[in-house]
Amino acid sequence: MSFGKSRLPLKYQVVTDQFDSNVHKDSTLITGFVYNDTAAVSGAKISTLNGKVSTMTDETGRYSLTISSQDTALFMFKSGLSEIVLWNYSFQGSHHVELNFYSSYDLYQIEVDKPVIYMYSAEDLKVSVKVNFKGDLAFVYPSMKENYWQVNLSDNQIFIEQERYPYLFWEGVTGEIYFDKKDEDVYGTFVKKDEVVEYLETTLTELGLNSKEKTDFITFWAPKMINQESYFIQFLNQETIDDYFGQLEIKPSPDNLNRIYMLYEGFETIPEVFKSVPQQFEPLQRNGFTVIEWGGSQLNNYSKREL
Amino acid sequence: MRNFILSFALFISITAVAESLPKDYWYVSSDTKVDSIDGEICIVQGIVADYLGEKVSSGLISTLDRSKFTRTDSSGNFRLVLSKLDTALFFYHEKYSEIVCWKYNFQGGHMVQMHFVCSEKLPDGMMIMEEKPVVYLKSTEDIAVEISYQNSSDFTFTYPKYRDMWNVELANNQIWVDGKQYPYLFWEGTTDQLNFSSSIDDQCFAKTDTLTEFMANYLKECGFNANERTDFITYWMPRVVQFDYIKFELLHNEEFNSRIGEVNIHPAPNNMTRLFFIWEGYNNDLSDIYLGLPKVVSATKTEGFTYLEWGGSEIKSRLEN
Repeated sequence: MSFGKSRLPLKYQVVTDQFDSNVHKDSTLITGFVYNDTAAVSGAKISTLNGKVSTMTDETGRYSLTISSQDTALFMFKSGLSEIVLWNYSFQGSHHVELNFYSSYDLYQIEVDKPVIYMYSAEDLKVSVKVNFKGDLAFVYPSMKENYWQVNLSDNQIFIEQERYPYLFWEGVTGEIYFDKKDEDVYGTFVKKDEVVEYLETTLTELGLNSKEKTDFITFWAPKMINQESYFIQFLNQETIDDYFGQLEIKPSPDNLNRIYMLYEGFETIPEVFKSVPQQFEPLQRNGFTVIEWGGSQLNNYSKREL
Repeated sequence: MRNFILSFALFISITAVAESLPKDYWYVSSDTKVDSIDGEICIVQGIVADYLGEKVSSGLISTLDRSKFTRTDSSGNFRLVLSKLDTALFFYHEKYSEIVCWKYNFQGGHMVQMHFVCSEKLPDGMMIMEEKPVVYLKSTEDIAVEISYQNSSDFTFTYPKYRDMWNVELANNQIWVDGKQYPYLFWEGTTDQLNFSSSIDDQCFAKTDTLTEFMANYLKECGFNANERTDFITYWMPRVVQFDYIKFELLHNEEFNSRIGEVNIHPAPNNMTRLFFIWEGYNNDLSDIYLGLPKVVSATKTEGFTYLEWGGSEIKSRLEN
C-alpha cells in the first residue's frame, strides 16, 4: 500500500493504429518499445489487466503482443519504474497498434512523512520555528506566516493566533535517501511484521517519548508495515537528519532539540548479503524548553537493486 | 463503396498521445428545426453507451441547476425538454465517469440528437481501506468501558490490540488499557462494500485549497477539540491537497453505523460523535454538477461520558488517481 505522492507522470504514445490484413479480425497486434528517462528498458512486462496475455521487452526494449480486440486496457510494469496503464483504448480487430511507453525511475521522489513537532516549556515562551527543508514542503499545518511558525507556548501548549494545536506538522518531498552504513554494514534491525509494534514501543520508550508521542508515531507508521514479511528499521542520528532534511531553526534556542527519524524498508525475505549493526538508544533529555520532532520515510534502496 | 473508402482512410495513421486519447465525451448527431416544437423549448434526445457500445440505463441527464432532468431507460435512451436559454447538460451515473456538456447553443423549436459515450469506473468489489479510525474517550467520572465493533473482522491493524473488544479504564480523563495509557484507540480495516452514496445529492465537491480551513471550522462545530481537529487535518489534508479538486461525503453517526458498521459501547455514552470522510481527488472542476460544501452540523454537548471517532477512505475509481 503506497500513500500519497506517487502521482508520477503516466506516459505512453500511440504512434500508429492501422488496419493490417495479416492480423485476425478478432485480434489486435501491438508492438512498441519501453523507455525510461535515458534508455530502452528490457524485462518490462506488458500485459492485459487480467494478466491473460502478457510479454516481456527484449534487450532493445521492444515487445510484441497479440490481444483480443475486446480488450480495452494494457499495462506496463517493471520493478523500480513507475507503472503505466493504457486505459479505455478502443482496440480494433485486424489492426496493428504501435504503442510506446515512457517510464521513469521512482528513485528521485522520496516522501518525508509527517514530521510533527511537539514543544514543551515550563515557562511561557514566544517561539519562532522555521523548517529549512532541503526539498519542497508539500503541506504544513497550521499555515505559516512568511515561512515560519510564530508560536506562543503557554501552559505547555502550542498557540498560534489564539488557536491551540497539539503539534506543528510539515511534510515534504526530497531526493534519494539511503540507509546509514558503517562500512558495508547497515545500522538498524530486521523486525518481523508481527513484532513491529512491540519493537517500536520498546525503542520509543527507550528514547523517552511520552504515551501521546508514542501512540501518534506507532499509529502513523505501523499500519503501513503489515504487508511484507519483515521490515528493516533504522533510526537516523541528529547530524544525518540535519544533513538530509535541513535544520530546524528555532528561536529562542531550545534546551533540548530531539529529532527522531525512522527509515524503513519492507522485505519478503532477508537478503543473505545484508549485514546489520544494532543501534543503541539513549533517553532523550527533556528538561527545560524541549522540542521533539518525529518523522520518517519508507525507502526502497534494496528493491531497486534488482534492476 | 464510397463509405468503404472513407472508413479505410480513417484507419490510416491515427496518431495520438496520452492526453488526446478517447476520453468520456458527448457528441451531437443532428440539430434540426422542427415546426411542431414550441419556439421557447428545445428537445434533446439521445443514447448513453459505454466504449464497447453497451447501453447505460438509469443514468441521470440533467441541467446544471437540476431544474430539468431525466434518467436513461433500459436501452440507454433519454429525452429531455429544455428551455432555449439552457446551455449545459451533464450525465451522471454512480458506476461511470461524469460527462459535462458545458456549452451548447440549444435553440428554440429545435430537436437535438445528443449522445454520451462514457467509461466505467473501477468495478465493485475493489478493496478499500478504512483508514485510521481513531477513538477519543472522555469522562468526568472514572469508568470502565467496553467497546466492540460490528465490522471487526475487517480490521487489519489495531492499537492497542483489539481482542474481541477493547476493555478501557477511563481515569482522570485518560484512556488506560492493560495498565498502559493511550491518547486514543486506533483501528484500521479493509472493505469491498464501501463507495460514495448512489445519490448525487449526497456528494460534495470543492477546491482543495479552501478545504483545510473549511474542515477546521466544520470539525469545531461538530464538537472536535483542538487535538482531534489537528489529528484529522494532518492525516487527510496532505493527501487531499495533491489534487486540485475533491469530491467527498461526510458520514455522521447513523450513516457511519449503516455504511461502515455499528459500534457497541457499554455504558452508553452521553455524547457520541462518529464521522467518516469518503473522498476522491479530481483535477477537473465538476463543482457545477455536485453540491458545494456541506452544511455544518452543530453538536450540543452534555456532561458525562463522551465518545468521538473519526476515520475515512480515499476512493480511487479512476485511473488518474
